[in-house]
Amino acid sequence: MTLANNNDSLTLYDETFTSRFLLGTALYPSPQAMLDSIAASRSEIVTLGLRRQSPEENGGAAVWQLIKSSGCKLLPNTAGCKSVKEAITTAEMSRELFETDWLKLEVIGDDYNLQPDPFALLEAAGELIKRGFKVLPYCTDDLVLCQRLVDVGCKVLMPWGSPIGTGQGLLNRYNLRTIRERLPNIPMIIDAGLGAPSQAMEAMEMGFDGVLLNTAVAKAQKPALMAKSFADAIDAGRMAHSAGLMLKRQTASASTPTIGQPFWHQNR
Amino acid sequence: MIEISLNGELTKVAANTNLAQLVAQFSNAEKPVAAAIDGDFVPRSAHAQTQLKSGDKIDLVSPVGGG
Repeated sequence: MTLANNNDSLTLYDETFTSRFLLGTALYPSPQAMLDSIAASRSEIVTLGLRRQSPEENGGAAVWQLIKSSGCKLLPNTAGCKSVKEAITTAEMSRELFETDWLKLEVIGDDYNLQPDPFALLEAAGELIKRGFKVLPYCTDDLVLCQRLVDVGCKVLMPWGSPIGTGQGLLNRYNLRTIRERLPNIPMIIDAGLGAPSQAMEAMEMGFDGVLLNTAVAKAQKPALMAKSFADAIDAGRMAHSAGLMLKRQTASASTPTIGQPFWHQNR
Repeated sequence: MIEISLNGELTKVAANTNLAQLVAQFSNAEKPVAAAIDGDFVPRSAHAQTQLKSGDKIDLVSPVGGG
């Protein structure tokens, strides 16, 4: 057990987790690569989705059985939904299939950057919470949206770092710092857009509570190795945040004591 | 026979088919299926009582990997 995990668990909707890394289950080169990556990530929560399938297609069944065999908590998503109704229907189907009321709520407002539609997201979140769902909304880093999502009952927020699958990291640090500072008691997981472990570490150093990603691991040349790299970076970032980062300074400040410096001012 | 839209494709089924019978063709122990008609969720407990009608738009979905 690392120092970061020692008495430093993550609590989401009254459930406690040791890992602060949530991993997606799409885009892997093979089902075994997915399973190896989940194990290497040390993740305890994995995301998954729903799609139309024909009777002839049974490929999804194998992936589903493997995901179940990982023993991880399931976090179904509403990926691709563009309206409140689509999101609610998908959520209800997910709850029945996966036997969980946890939901990664996505309501997409733009096809090009897959940006959440804040208005539909808020409406869907409110309705789903009334229906008993534990909603983890994939949202932008807008402060007022985040506040409104909390107002309707979201106990976790999942703001984007940058658009899904771009690997651009934390694009709007001002907004991210603002929501972190203004909503200090709401667990926040940076969801989407991270491409490198250093970016995940930065998010954790900023005080975010966890990281959710998929593409950066699944599309790595060695997915399981990348999963471990992210896991270690997330732990390190969390430890750094817990330890307290020094304040930045404009001018240099000697670390070695100046008192007792030999030859002090002798040549001036 | 009646014509329905099944996962976006027009298809014909017997006039007295219910949703449970349709779902049974798609699901198995390893691949559960959930259903919606005209965009509204239909819980499993209601499948057997839900008679399919001509023009129904039916979505049957299964788990997939996701982010």
